[in-house]
Amino acid sequence: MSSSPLTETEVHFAGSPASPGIGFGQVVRLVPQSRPPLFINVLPHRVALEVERVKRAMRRARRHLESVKQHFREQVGHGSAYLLDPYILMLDDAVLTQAIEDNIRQHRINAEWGVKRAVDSLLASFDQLQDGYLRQRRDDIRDVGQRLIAMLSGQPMRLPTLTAPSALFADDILPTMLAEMNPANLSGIVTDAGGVTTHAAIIARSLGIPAVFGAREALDRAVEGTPCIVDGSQGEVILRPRRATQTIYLGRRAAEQRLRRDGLTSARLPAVTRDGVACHLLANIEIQSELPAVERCGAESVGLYRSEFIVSSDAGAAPDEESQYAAYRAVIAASPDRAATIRVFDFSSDTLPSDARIAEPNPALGLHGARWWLAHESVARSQLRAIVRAAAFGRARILVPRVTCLSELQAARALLDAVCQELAVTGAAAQRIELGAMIEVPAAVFIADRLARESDFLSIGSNDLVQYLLACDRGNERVSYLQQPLHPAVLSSLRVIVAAARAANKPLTMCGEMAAQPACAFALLGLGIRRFSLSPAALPSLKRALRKLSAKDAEKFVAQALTLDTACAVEACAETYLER
Amino acid sequence: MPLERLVTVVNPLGLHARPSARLVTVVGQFKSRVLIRRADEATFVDASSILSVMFLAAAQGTPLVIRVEGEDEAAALAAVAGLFAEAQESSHVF
Repeated sequence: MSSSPLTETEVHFAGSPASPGIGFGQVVRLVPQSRPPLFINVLPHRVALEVERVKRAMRRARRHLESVKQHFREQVGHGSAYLLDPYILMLDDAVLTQAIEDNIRQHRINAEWGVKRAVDSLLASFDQLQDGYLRQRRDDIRDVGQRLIAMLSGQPMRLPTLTAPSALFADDILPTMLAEMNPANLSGIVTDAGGVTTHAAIIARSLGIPAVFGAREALDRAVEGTPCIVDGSQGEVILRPRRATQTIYLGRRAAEQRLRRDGLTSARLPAVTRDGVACHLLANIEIQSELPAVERCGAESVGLYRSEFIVSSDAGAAPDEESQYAAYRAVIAASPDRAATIRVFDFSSDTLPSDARIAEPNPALGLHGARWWLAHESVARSQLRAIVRAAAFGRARILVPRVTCLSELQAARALLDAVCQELAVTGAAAQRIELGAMIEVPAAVFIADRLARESDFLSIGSNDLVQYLLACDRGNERVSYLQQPLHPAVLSSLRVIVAAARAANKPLTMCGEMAAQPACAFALLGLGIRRFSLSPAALPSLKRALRKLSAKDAEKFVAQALTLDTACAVEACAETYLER
Repeated sequence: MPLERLVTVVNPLGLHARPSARLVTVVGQFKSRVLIRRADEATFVDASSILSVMFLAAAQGTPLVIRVEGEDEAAALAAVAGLFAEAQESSHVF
């Protein structure tokens, strides 16, 4: 590792994106300073003294954490300070105190070793637990144990004083230690261990510090003082970045900050029109690493997760249930209180992974969307199993793409019911997984009332709906002038869909970039659409636009637009309203 | 006579650190002794110990039995059971 040419080159390595943002700083290595606790056999008359030492250390550690909580609350506000409560309560826990005391008395050992034995056996029993999420909480117990031992050894954990912008490298970072840090010069955090759902990750996110966790061997490779870039949005760490790389990342950081500023100013504001009509903004995403942007851009949750992107990044035809489960779980757990909409694989013969590709003369009119998915029952089943299992970590809705017939929706429902039964998900849990049809094929527009009746929700795919209605390939530049989202046929179709969803009292979401154009957003609002799902980057400006629009004006405009003859006329009409 | 009530965990992540902390904090506000067990197990644990509560490993949907005994038992039971009921209606904290 120490050969000199190597130390001069730029090095990239990857981990999990634990907290978004891009930070520049010098490597500061955080190596555990406290030696492992000493084992000492104590004389019988010392036993009571050792017990007393532990109790005193627990009281002091608790007081210390209470002041950390106070400090943390000042940094991030009330919202996240509760994260420290479990640690404070553990330091006052009768079961933990008793376990340590028993160890000291039975084995006649010093306080430090008593803590170590008690914590080790608690950790061992925690490892027995079946539930993965609770098992992760073993870190919290370990954190408390380390704090106690440090307190007892008279060498409380020292935090580095950061005098210049620094990227902190550690094997693992204790959540409480992070909460205690002064974030002023902390421009990034990189750890070898740890995941994005740990308390440390939550704390990094609430402090707004870019973090990459689970970057293997990061600590070994980083030399103290080396310049470094931490890209917590993508999960990348760059040591000794070249000038060109620095320029790229400075540009990206500026873009992210701009987005964040725009997003934050409008993301904090409610998505309400000038005349008080509330709208819902959701995000379309393709890959997990977009998740941090979802919240940052002010989306309530994921309105469209295009699951087929898992496949294209994979070698095989369809990833196994487990890797799908992990991906869906991450998406669902990102907004546990609000449903994330997962669209099942939407392939057509030209987008299938190469080894499964089939030759069709006309892929857009071939075996695609719901047709392909239902024709591959074992793929469909394992996907549904993965989604249903992942739904335990929040709320999920399942969307069936490019539905043409009611029977397709019914077949999907039967499959979902069968999978729920197989997994013994009954009652409340099964009911929470809603099934919806995506309206993209013109035929679906005219049976929208039937689809609405048998769906739990409806979504419109604007890109494909326009392409199919106008029979024009948006990728073909000879006919791309026909890509007219304000074509009277599109407006009339949307009106039919909105009416069907209203009559059946089912939520309707507009998915696609159509709403990113101000005139289109105005038309959609006037048609009565209130839920919009777009790529995260498009959301802040849509929100700003919506807040300036009036739903009443929009309705007037739509009434007029529906009588007009061409898309051009509709656009011109919209302009007269928007310029007012 | 101790009071008992059956409740269910609604939080999708189960009774993890944060809801456990809330439960223990609420229990600490009363003089009564509050015990808790999984409906499928016989032994009660002390609901004022966060470790014991976390070790219940109560995932979403787990039925739990709460037992309260002491001078303010009615109020304590109402407060503890209320944490679970409240979650059912709105915030999913429990």
